[in-house]
Amino acid sequence: MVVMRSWKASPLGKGRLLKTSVNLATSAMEEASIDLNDIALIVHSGIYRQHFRTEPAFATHLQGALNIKCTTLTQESSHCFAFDVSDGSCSAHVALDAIADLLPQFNGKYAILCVGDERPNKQTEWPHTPHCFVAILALEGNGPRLERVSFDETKAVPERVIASHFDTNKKANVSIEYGEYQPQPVHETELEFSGHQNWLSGEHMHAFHQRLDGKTDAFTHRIVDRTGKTTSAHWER
Amino acid sequence: MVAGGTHAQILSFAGYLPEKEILTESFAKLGDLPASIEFKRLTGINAHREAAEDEGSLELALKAGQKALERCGIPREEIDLVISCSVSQLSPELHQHISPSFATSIAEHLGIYGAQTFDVANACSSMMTSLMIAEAKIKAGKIRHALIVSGEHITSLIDEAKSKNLWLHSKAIASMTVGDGAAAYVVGPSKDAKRMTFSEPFTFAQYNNHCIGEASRERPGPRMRTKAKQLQLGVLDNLSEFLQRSMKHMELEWSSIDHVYSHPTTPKAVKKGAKIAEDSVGSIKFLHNDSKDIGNTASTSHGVLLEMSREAGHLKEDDTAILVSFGSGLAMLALHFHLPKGVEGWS
Repeated sequence: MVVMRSWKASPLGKGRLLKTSVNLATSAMEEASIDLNDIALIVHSGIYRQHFRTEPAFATHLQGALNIKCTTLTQESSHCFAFDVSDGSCSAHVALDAIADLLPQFNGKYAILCVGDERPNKQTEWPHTPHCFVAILALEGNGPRLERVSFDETKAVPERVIASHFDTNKKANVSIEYGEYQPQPVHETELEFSGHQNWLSGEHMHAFHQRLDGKTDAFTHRIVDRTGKTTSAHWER
Repeated sequence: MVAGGTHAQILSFAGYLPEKEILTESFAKLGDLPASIEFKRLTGINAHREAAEDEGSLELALKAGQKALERCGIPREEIDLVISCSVSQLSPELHQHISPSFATSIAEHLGIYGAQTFDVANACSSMMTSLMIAEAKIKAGKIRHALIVSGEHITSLIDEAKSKNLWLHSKAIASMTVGDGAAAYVVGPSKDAKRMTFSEPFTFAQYNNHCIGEASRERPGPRMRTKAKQLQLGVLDNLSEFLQRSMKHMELEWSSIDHVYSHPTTPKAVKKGAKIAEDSVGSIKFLHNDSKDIGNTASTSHGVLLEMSREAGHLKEDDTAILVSFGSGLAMLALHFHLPKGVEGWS
């Protein structure tokens, strides 16, 4: 499993996701004294992108903006791999688990996890408070250790879908949420934390890691998305 | 958690193409494009397939997913992971799916309950990236079997491109190379470490603005803007080194590979890449450059080409194949694998 060497989070405000991600990643790497050239993997998770962008992966934009190994391949050169994963608000845990699975196979020492969404366009009514969360993950070292991520889809109601379509009146794509439900509120104990069911994944990670500071024991972060899907990340100090 | 310490293999694959064939001449004949571009001659694409009116990315993915599951015979309850890697995620009405993962809907429709489901986005390399994640989870002992599936409903990109003045929007022209299709793979455990191996994966992010797909700002459906020539140069400039490094990393002899499949941006581009490959790592036993009548089907391209090869009787069990993947970003990675047991007898 992986260790979270450093992490930074911030509300997005009126800023763009890429700019905020770059600032947070730079700050997190400086804090942990990690060199850009030691980054082998970048994974982004989130569901809303500017103009409902589908390609390339947001992680490639972060890699490019940080100028991580943007060089031509040689037999000796060191490189990085970048991609996105998503699964509603549970996206962040999916990304964490993918990093934990893949990083041991990569030559570099560290991975960047970036979690965040942004309002796709001004025509989309968007009730969310977007947050960006960036962490530097390693196979070893000091920091909270991710023991495992577990997934429970048995209570999921897949009909609670979010989709976008072209609104002829607004002359733009807009997103729409389908399906009624009663969102679960924030739940917190000494041993676990679960955020509000309406939060996006960046807000989940932001809120969880505020609580992780100062913890000395095992701690579980649970995310329940609007379909009822549940993921749990089990951390130890 | 299942027993760890194992390796992975591809147990089955499937490709699906819609029946409706659209000839390139019907939308890009000489005189339709700026500067007298002879699109068919330039790309080598004669035709592509277009989804039926009631087919979207989901319906296409289900056809490939169903077939892949039937072929491997793995019961639904033993599928622990479903990954969707469709770039398009479009309904027949061109609504774009956002949340939960598209894989959730696919799993539900296929009767796979309780499996972990999520989506991977890495443009045309999404399928290879997903297979790599599934392989890692099997090796870690976290899952038994995974279904990796994609349906690409992308030919509305052609209509979007044709709606523009292509003299002013030349970056839309590459949108006319696409076709609809679907592919799926079932991955499972193996005692043999060599049944399925990956190259080092690379992202050359200096090319990350060379192909952008997003919602059209003027009409339903997506649009794609591509600096096609520069992106192709990015691939070709790195290809020789990539193949040499990959052979070393995967501990392979290029001459031992029975079947070579490249991501088919166009048949002409694949031909250029093959020339570089032959100069770099040696002659190719069998290059499956068969996209002239189907176009570029994005993340599904290798699966669709494998299915065409199987139908033509070119594939035998335990033959080896390499799938070389390029996706906007620019992502490059390759998968070498042994063809599944019984592939000759699949219907």
